[in-house]
Amino acid sequence: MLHTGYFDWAATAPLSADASQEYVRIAERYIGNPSSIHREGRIAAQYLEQLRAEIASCMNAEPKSVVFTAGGSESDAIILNSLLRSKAPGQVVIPRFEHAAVTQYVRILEDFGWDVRLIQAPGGFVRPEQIANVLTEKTRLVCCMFVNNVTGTIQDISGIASVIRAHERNIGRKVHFHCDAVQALGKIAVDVRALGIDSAAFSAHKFCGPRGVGILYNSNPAIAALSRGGGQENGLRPGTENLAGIAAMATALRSAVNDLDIHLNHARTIRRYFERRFAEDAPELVLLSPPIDSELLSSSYILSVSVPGIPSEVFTRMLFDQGFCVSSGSACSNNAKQKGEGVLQAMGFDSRLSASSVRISYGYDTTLEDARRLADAIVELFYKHMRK
Amino acid sequence: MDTKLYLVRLGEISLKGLNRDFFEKRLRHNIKDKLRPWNSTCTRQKGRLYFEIDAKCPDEIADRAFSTTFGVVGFSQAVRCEKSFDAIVEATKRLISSPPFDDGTGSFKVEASRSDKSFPLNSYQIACELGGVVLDRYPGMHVDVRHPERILFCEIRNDAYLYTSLRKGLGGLPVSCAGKGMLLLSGGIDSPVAGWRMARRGLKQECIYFHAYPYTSEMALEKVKSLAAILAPYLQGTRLHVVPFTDSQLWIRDHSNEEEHTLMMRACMMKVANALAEKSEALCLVTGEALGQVASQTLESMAFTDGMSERVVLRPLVGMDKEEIIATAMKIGSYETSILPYEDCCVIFSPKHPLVRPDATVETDHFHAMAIEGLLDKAVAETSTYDFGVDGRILRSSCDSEA
Repeated sequence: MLHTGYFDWAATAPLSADASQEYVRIAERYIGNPSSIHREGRIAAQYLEQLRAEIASCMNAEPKSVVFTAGGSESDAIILNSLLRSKAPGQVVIPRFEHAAVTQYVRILEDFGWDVRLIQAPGGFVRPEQIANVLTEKTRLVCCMFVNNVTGTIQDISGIASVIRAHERNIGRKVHFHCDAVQALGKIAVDVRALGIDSAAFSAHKFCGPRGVGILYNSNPAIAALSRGGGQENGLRPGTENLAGIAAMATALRSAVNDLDIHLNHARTIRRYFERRFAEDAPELVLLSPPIDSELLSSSYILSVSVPGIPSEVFTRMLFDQGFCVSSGSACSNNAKQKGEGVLQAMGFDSRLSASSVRISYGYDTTLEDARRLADAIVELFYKHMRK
Repeated sequence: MDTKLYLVRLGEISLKGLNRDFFEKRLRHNIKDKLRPWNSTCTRQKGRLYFEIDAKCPDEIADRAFSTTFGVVGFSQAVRCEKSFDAIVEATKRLISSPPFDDGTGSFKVEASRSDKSFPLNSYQIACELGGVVLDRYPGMHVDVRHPERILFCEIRNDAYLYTSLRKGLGGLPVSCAGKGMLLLSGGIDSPVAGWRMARRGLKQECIYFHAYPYTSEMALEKVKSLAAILAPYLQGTRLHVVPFTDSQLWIRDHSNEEEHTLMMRACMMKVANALAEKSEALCLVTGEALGQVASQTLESMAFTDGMSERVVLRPLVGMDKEEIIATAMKIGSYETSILPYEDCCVIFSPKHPLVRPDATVETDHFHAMAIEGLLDKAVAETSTYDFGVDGRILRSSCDSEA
């Protein structure tokens, strides 16, 4: 099924037909609770472990490091909550452009005595040197997202991991490196071991899986959960496993990873098309995402563009009236700073650009024709409503 | 038909002279409007109205009818009995078998009044006798005339009336006694309060909202509809006019100096409001402006916008402090809706440095130079309406009839 006019895949991608069918099949087939000791429970548990191994292989992880969760935010929360148990709070490094699932923890961590070091991301990038400059003997955790959800900029995660590992050797203690990779899995190659991270958060509905299912990759045995229950998922995520959801996620992920290059080439074609159209037909529009063919790495699936003079929420409504769903980064308001605008300001974009930004994101079944129609609408609306 | 009786106290109306009938009739009409579909009959005695309402009408509906109608100073659910001492004692015994007397402990007093001076006992004697009836029934209670926990009221008029609670009403004058106006309703805190205050002086009002979609969201319109629904019981129902204002806003943006945008927008609103007032046969405009609150609310700005209106512009909040306005908004129940984060005006139409001391002559020339009249006429012609009943529900909208 084509999702005409839908350009908000980074918010949530449509559930694939295969994943949908798999959900129903597994929900009907496996009736037991994987923690039960009877036959139905045992076969559900076996299948769960089979899925775990399969999903682990999609990111080059050990199956034991894969924890099933309810989504990206919960995966981030498990890591951050773990710090709250510490009797000797230290330092945490968090870039300001992180998703709210991470930045909303800043106040909580500070309340628990942690020293939170917030860092800027000029142009949408956190450079390894920036991290190196703020690491101290007290640093216990560094967070950095893989693909920024507003502009699509891709971070040098392995470079950041290298400086953290070097720092670990200097201070003689572990520094945990957590990566929110929600916008990466299924879109770009993710090899958790090659990246050198300790943990990562993923969400099924970003790669056409179901909502309410996610993954925490965690290789650090010191991470301990705050929540308690039946001890499922190595104690990190208690609660009966959502076997059907996990199976549907595995189906969607398998498909996304198998066809990764084909889909990526398609996304690049669309991205190049948008860049060319805007450059030729509306040069006043400002691309906040780096050009796809530049040296700066960015996701081919996300394009952030500023429409000067028109608040992003207003432009989003205008496009919606033309049949298009895009995402706005900020509110049409004097004082309501919403997350997208804050993220862009953390990247150094001035408030005029950030207040007028819209995010266009798409997926494997977005057609070039659909992209052309959206570009037409953007150009036409911009010139119709820009100040004469 | 089984009925229950409500006694309604009148304040300012009872002081009226020859035209008191006019005010009382309007008040009866306004209350009856809110009691529908239940049958009710109304009789009057000096300074009081007595409503007999179908007993099936829930108490909260009746309470709401009296507590949201201007002109009512106080009201009580009462029992009526024959004007004989024995009958009064029997009625008292029945009444004190229910709350707030039936717990049988604590303090009370009896407050008696006698407008019929032929009744054999005076007010003090009535109070003493009925106090004795209460104490006989509840020996654990005691009389406290200064700070009683409960009061038994007894009024001797054409009949005898007994009641145990006295609820405060809103006072003021019945809506529609003072003609009709058009309330400029934004999504903010002030304008609903302005409308409420003018309704309290008997002004019937229709509301006007200027909607600049997509620059303001549909949520902002929904918010204004909610505010109109909150105001509707106080206004005895109202009509909300939603004026499509986007083209006018864009024209103002492109054909006036940035610092004049707000002034020109206010001038356009006055023009449109006057045109709608003409259609609705309204004699005045009502705004929520308070002197000096924002740049467009200086004396000079008000003088300029007044000059754009053919009708008198009433500003009931002009001398009020924001805290006072907020306190009234909370009392009305509009505050929580007003502070929802849907702006009634987009930032792109708000100048960074608005003109605060405009010269009315110069600005009037600038207004005419914009040549915006055609767009304003179009906005008036394309205005949609929503009619709200006295219960705050939408009865009909022009959008439905078009569909």
